[in-house]
Amino acid sequence: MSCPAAIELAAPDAEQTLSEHLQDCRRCRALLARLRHHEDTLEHSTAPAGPQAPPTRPPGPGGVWSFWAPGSEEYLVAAVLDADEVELLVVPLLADTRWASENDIELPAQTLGYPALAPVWAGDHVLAEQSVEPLSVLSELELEQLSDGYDAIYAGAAIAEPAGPAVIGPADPRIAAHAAIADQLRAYSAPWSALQGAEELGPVLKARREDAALPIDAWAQQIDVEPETWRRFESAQLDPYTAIPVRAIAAATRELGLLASQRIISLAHASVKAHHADQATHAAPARARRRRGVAPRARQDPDVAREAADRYAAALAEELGL
Amino acid sequence: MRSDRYLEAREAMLAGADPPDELIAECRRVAGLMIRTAGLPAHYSPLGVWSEEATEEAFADFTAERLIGRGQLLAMLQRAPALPVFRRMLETAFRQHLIDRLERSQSANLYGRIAQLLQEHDSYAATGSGSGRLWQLATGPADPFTGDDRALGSLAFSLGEFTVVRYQPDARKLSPLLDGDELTRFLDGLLAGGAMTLATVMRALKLRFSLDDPSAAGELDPEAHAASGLGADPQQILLRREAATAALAELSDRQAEVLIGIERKETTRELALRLHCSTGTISHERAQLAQVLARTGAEDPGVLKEILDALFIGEE
Repeated sequence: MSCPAAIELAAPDAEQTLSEHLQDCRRCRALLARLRHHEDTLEHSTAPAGPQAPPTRPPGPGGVWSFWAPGSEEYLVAAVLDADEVELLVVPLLADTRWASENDIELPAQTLGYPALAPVWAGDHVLAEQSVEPLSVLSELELEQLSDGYDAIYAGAAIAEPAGPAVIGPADPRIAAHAAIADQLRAYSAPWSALQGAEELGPVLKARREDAALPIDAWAQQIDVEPETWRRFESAQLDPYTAIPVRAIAAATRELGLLASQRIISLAHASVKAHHADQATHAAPARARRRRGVAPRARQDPDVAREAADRYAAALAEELGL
Repeated sequence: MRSDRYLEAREAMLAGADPPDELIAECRRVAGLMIRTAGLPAHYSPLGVWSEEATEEAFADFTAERLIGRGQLLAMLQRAPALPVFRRMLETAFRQHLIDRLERSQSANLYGRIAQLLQEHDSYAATGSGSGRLWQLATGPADPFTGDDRALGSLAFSLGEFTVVRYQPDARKLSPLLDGDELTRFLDGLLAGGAMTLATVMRALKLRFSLDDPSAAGELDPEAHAASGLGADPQQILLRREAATAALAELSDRQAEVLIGIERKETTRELALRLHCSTGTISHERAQLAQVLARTGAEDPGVLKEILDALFIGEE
């Protein structure tokens, strides 16, 4: 939640137009009650929830792009260190350089049009779908500097040319300021983080459902799937291709607040590929297996599984509007 | 400015165009309205009072130095996909510009006081000349202090607690950071560690008291302050109200919640849980909050009470 500018609070109809924000923000309610002047001609407008149109070309290493995140009205400006069609490794570029330390790198004004601070310690992944627009391109030297700095931080080594002096001690205000910056930046990596933790979609959705404290039976009913089927899917024991319609998966990801992305598609693809058994095996008489008392391993033809995974992924992508 | 015009201006500037007049006019309007509505303290004004002339001067300075000179207009446009977001960022930047100016004058004030102290008291001696002139205690070590920032910071922090003087809402001017005796004690303690140039002394003050942050050295505790200096005089009531409004406008929503948490005696951990952030962030917000209160004169218990009352309206 970000507070509106005083000019927005000063609009004569602010109580109506900002009612949602005012309901949750004591600071703005208190301020609104004390404003001495009202602006008569202000046109209100709301910030868009995401980019207006997908970018025409994908971001690549060395690009400086803006990124959006659900729930955040501001774009993040960041340099891309590594990229594929699913995710990007980015280092934020901050216009506020006050909190520079030995773990930050400064980019000169020529790069972006203003001096910027690259907190390489805050480098993280975002989903490819979060890219909005290209803003600039780093020189090869700058890209190398940021990549080396990022590697140095994670290797516990010193950055070659840090932007600021070393943190002096526990009382140094930069320690707490960096914690606040990290909290602020978390919103941008959260859509990617929410889709990690497993290599199949079921366990990823399970973690998300449990975070939201949604009981499995009620949840399965909500998305119109048999609870036992969903339970097995969450436990990575079931092929969604044969048991769960893509519209249920799409509904589940939306309800759980996950960003429609290629990462979801690749996780679903992995789920089908891992568990899709040859149709011929399924057709084998169940009684015969029971009589033998031995459950035969489902025969999996990798090519058939891949084809099924491709079909399921394509259908899910269409359902998610990707 | 209309939203569609903002988006056009944004697109043009991101493509390399100069800022259109309409966008600069919107910036002037936002800055002017912030001054008129949000009770911006008079000591933030370049002229000591918020007249039309002062508003124009502050905005012209802001435009030349920060918006255009430092490229901050472009930085804001890159991050603001919509007009309301841009307006909010612009307000923050304008306020920060005024605060930076204020702190620069505070540093100059302190520099002058230290130079005067060193020159006028027999307990200090100097060798060399110009900016390399080394100052020492007349009966202290003559060897120059050779430590780096970390050593200088450690020395500055080893000198114990200092009473820091804050802005007062009725002062209408900058207050000194340290009173005379405390400044002398700080200076003597530093020079006991070795001879220093004036620049090193100023650097030590910056490290110890965060001159960019006039109150970081102090802990925020609404109960720790003496009785309010502002009584029931109508003029003082007005000043108190203005200071409270100024502080409220300068606080973020999270800082306001932190202030409420401090009043309710919530621990840092409890606050972090309630506000869904790290304890480090809460420490940062506490420090920022203390700065806002100090800068706006809202450390005065009467003003602080007024702020808390305003925040609690309809709550309890």
